[in-house]
Amino acid sequence: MENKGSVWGEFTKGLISQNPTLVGLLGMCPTLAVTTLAKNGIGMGLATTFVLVCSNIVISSLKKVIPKAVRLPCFIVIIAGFVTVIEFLMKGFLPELYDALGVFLSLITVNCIILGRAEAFASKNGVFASALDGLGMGLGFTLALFLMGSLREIIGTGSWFGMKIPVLCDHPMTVFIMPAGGFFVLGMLIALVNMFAGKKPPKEISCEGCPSAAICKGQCREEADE
Amino acid sequence: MKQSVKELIMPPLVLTIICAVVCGLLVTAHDATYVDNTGILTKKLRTGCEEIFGGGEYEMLVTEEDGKRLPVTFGEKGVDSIIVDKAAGNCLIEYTGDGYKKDGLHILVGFGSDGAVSGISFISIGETPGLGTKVQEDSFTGQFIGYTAGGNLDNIDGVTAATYSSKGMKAAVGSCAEIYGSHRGEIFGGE
Repeated sequence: MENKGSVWGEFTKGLISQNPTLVGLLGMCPTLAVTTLAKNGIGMGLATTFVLVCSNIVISSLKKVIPKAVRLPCFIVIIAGFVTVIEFLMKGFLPELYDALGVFLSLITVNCIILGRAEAFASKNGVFASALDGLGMGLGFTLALFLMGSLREIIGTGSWFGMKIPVLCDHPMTVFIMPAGGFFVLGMLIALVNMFAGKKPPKEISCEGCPSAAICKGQCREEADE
Repeated sequence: MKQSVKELIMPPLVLTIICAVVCGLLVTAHDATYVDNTGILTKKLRTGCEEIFGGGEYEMLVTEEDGKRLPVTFGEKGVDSIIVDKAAGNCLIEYTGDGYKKDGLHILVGFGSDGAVSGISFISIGETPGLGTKVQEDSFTGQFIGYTAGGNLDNIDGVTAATYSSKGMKAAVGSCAEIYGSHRGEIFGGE
């Protein structure tokens, strides 16, 4: 049985310590593309949270029913189903946000955060823990997108949620709402999170944790030493 | 190793059931959220009309095809609908055109009884915030007031750093004026 501490941990880990965007560097496409406005960031974040929670719950409930051979197609069908539902809802009730998010709303289906959590967590854990994991990761993603959208909107257009900010609105730095500004703000936010988390680059390069270690077998280190 | 019958049947069966359930969910969601606005003067369009001409008795020109209400567009590219206030002699053309983004400009262009552009209202805009969206400002749209078909659009100053959006607006208003000029009689129920 899950204890209280671990349940709370499942929820909070996605907010900062394992934030999917700023720490895991997942879901970069929507992060850079839709965050020209804070409103768009929140909209995309909440839509992704809805899909994450729902797909985690369903996948976790069906984990014993879904055969391994068709695991990924089943996950994709479930995720795509929820994405289409949120698309219908947004088109019906929030048409402006639907227009602003454009193709990136449909592309939530292939967002690696969702498939990643389905594969790494929901397919191996209970329904409640999976729901909390989805909620935490989704809110962490929303938080990152909201921060990026706010910074880009404030500096790039001199307004926030459409409200004009004195002085800044007279001298907007439009590069911040262009792709280059998106990369710059994202880099700054990642650096800030690393600074607060006390993350430092490794002092010595080792094979530990290297994804190519099995192929390379330490050859790169020998070449570097030479 | 030979696979058992269960191992062969179960994967496609489970996938088929999941697909069927998801399809059912989507049909329900679609039925619950879809609203067919074709040929209907929506609140958004009415607000746009009132922004240009103030209150009035606006009606959308519609035609019936196979029992379905469809807006009159005269087969012109970009025209979504035509709205008229017959008593005042005003006409508004709902038009969707390309700016920096494809179909990024969704506007209403109002023509007064004198046949010239009286104002422009935006139904939605998909241009770059802070750049292309500046074409909504009165300082830009105001330059089109008084424009008639065949007029010169070259003397209209574009918005700085929003070349594509400005060009898109000029093309959209120019097309609307041409369409209004050539179909004015039909719009007001004459010849």
